[in-house]
Amino acid sequence: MLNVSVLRQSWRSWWSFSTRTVGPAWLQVLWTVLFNSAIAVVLTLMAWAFAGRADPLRFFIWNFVIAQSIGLTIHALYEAGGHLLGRERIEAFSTRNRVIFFAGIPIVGCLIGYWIGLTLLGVDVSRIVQGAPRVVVAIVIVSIIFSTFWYRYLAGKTRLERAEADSERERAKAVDLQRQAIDAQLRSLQAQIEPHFLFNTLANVVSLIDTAPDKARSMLERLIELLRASLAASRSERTTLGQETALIAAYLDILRIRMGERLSYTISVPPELLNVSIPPLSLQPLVENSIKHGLEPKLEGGSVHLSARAADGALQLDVEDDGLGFSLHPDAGVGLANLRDRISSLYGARARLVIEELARGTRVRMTIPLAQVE
Amino acid sequence: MKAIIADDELHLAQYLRDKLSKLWPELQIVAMADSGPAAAAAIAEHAPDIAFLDIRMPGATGLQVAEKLARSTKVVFVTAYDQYAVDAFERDAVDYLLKPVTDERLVRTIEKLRKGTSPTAELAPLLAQLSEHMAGRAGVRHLRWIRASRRAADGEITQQIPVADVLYFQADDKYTCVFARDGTDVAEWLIRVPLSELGKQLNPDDFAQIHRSVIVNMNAVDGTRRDLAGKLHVRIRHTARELPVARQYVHLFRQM
Repeated sequence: MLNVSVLRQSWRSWWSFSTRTVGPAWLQVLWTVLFNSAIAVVLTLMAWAFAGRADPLRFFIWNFVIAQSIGLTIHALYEAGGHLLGRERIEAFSTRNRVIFFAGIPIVGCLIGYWIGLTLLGVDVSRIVQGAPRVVVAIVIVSIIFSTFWYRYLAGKTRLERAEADSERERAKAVDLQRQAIDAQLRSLQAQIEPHFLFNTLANVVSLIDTAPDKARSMLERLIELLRASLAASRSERTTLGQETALIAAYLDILRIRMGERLSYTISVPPELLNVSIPPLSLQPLVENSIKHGLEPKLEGGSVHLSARAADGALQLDVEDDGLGFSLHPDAGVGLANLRDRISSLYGARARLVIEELARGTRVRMTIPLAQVE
Repeated sequence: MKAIIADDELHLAQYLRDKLSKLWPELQIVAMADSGPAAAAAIAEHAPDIAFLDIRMPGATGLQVAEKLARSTKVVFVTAYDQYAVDAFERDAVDYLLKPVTDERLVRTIEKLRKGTSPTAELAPLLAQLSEHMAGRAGVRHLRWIRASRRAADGEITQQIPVADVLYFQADDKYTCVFARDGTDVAEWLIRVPLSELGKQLNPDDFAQIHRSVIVNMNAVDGTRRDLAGKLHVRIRHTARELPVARQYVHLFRQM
């Protein structure tokens, strides 16, 4: 279908002598005819204004016939050249061949077009060639000058387009590098185990070694699991939801030994989602926030629930607690703000982080595009 | 001598109790508390000679509990890791223990407490300063999230919205309206903080007052327009809205 966009692109491909034209072939011919007509009008106006021709209509008809003859001849020559040589060969032309092809065709086209046009107008061309060879020379010179300008214009435009494409590529590369740098930086921030958490956990292990060695061992095992996963996560760009929830379980198990009755948790992830891809350590800040600002400061403690579901091609992860709520502590939410920056640098507008305050507690919902791990 | 131990983590409290009973059998542990308020209550009830206080506890921190103590009760702070507090304790010769507590370190503290060389100095100024720090008020920090509400089909919803997504704030009587990006849309929220109060908590690099009742996110300003009367307006990105700039704030847009 023809619409404004196709028309515009077709015109552009005609104007820039592109080897890959857009739109139907007759449209390309139409552009040529319109261009020829415009030239005929301009020449007539100029002659009328400067030379004061007495019979503009007759002069216009002359100009029109000759302009169409020349233009359509050039058009036909380009078409024929394209068919004979093939599009790929033309595009791969060396500079010299390019000059010969793109500047040579208009020169030859001018001569042949003039001859056709004059013949159509009933002029005996051979008499002009014999009687006034200077006219022929003038035509040749004019067409050479015209072709040269045209070629220079085209070459400059091609160089410009190439430079633009290069700088666009550079820009895209820089943006990508920047994105990777942001991700790596935020990832390493989130991979840091809080010293207070680490030392408190180790103090618990020491305190349990004599009285409850089993508990001490399981706590140490969970801590090792957590440290190993954090280290791995800080070095890779993707993990699976299954691995990430295992990490969360290790973290919460440690806290449950430490906080005792005050903490309970559930993790519910449907088995078909265990293998979907998520950024490493992206769940950790959500859970940590619930613990640090919701449950740890609350006298009677509480519970935290992690759940995952797929909806509309997106992965929705909820962390809900019945704690004190997002506190006014200025440190609260630093981890969440970092996480938000991180997922938005990874997924743009397709990622969301919504912190909702419930009647009791907080629900943080992270939404990212659903993707399987390759 | 009587003592209480306050730590929300049971294993750690028991561990300290066991160590104390081994290294200082005469010391009587009269109560174990698992929160700030419980510690304060136990101290009020037993009037102990010594209080071993964990710093981070639910309800109230060990520092807050210590601030209200009578001079007759000596305080030993116990912490797993609070570098800033430990530095302050070291400087002001306040007794403290690091978890997990080692025999060697505990013996030194016990000796000081027994001989009465443990400091009984006025703790108040130090604790006040530390409490401030623990609450995060030390140093200037700007708001990152704002607790805001809006009406929805199923009643009112309250969310923490990222300050970076806010386009502008507009005073509305005692409340403040917040216009913020919500995906590709713009959502209107209400917060129960007056604009003047809010202005102090925003990062001045990003937010600027442009009118008595408006604070804009300068990153969301798309351009300016001067109307026929010569009044300046700013265009807000993502909205078709323009906001008037009061005369005294016009200088903010000189470069634009």
